[in-house]
Amino acid sequence: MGPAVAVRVHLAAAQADAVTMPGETAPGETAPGETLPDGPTSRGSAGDLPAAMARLAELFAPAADVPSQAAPWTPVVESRRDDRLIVRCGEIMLKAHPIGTDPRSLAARLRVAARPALREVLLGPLALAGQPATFVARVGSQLVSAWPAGRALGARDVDAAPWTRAGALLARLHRQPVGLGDLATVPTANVLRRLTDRVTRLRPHAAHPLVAPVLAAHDTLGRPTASRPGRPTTVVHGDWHFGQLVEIPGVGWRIIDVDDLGLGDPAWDLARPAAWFASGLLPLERWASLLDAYRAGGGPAVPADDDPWPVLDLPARALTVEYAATAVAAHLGLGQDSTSDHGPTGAAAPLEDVDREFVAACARIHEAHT
Amino acid sequence: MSYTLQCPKCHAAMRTYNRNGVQIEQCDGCRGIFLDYGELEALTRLEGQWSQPAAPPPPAAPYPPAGGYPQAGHYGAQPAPYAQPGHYGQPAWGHGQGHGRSKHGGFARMLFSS
Repeated sequence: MGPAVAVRVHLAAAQADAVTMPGETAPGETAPGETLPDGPTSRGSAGDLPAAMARLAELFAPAADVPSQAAPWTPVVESRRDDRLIVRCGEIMLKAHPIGTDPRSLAARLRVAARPALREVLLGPLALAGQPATFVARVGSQLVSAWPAGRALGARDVDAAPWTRAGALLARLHRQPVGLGDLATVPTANVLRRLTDRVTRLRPHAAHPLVAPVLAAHDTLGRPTASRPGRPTTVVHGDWHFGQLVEIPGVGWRIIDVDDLGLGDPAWDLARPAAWFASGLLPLERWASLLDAYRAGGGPAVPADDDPWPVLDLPARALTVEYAATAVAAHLGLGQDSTSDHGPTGAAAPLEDVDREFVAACARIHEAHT
Repeated sequence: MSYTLQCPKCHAAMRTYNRNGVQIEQCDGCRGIFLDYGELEALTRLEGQWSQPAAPPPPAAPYPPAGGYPQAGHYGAQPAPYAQPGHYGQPAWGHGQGHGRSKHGGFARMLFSS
């Protein structure tokens, strides 16, 4: 038995979707039953979060394929982006979800990832010990989930990316039956969050020669939605790329990161590769191996034996605009704080060749739709 | 869309969601769901639709007839340099001839991040 950690099950609002844990209070210092902070707190500074997350690790029950281990762990920060933090504690990965994440939606997404039917597709979250349906705890103002650690891919692995495996996994995800209950309880996939954010940053600079073609291409999208009329609605990942795969030793490849997962047109999960290909960055043989494996797996997003572009065109255009807008916003120094009155701020990033390809593709999109 | 229903059970406001063209009112309080006449049937049809291969929707922009996507304007001057046995194709604005930029560092990073 590990050291006593004061934990209170947080029943209000989140309907037992999360367990509350003090962000700063050392184990044993909080009397049982004492009300613990679960809203935004100034105490949970970024420096404390990894340690607080590490204290949480032992509360999560190890999965069958994650060896149980003794505390204490030395937390290793694996990735930090804005307020999203991933910390490794031995064989467990702890993820602090962005501030403002809706606890109910996250819990619903985690329950999808925990479905036995998707065990060979999505990496399953670790449940809290003794609470097999609870996959989230709270540290200060952030929700934390726990996962088996696996081997992720990075930019050095460009030639090792498992295109065929990826196509097969996405097909299986999209073939997960969607029932009436899912339509009510599984959130809508977040397929347009980044696009909307980036384009909003660019709007005040519409006359800039790099911004104009991006906004013109954006105008061809109309008002895209996660589900599209006349299209299948399935469980979709919502932000799929090769960084969303991990290999668990002895188990195989699994899809990770359910923050944007939900119901929508499965074509959105092919949008990034489709945009890479259509923008001239991805050789045909790699695109073909992804698409062939997806079709062989019965993936419902594209016709089995017909031109896929009538259905991929809109998602591919949307992601091309998103890539171009992201690069141009960074290039112009339009950071997260674009709502301030100070105009462009932050360090400008150089525009790379791939970024120019996306801007050029935006010009072609505009051209093809006028 | 513009009206607000009140939940008949707990009297909280109900919010309208669109699920693939079907309007669903869900209570913000008790999460109960209100379906209008015909919506249950529409949802049941959707439920059966999940695994069916997509029928191509009416394209937003005029697509050229079967036989591929001739590229528009001066951007698409080059002919497709490969056979397309498995229906890979590309959109009207596409440059999908794969000119080897995948070795570029920027592309490698993009492959693995949002």
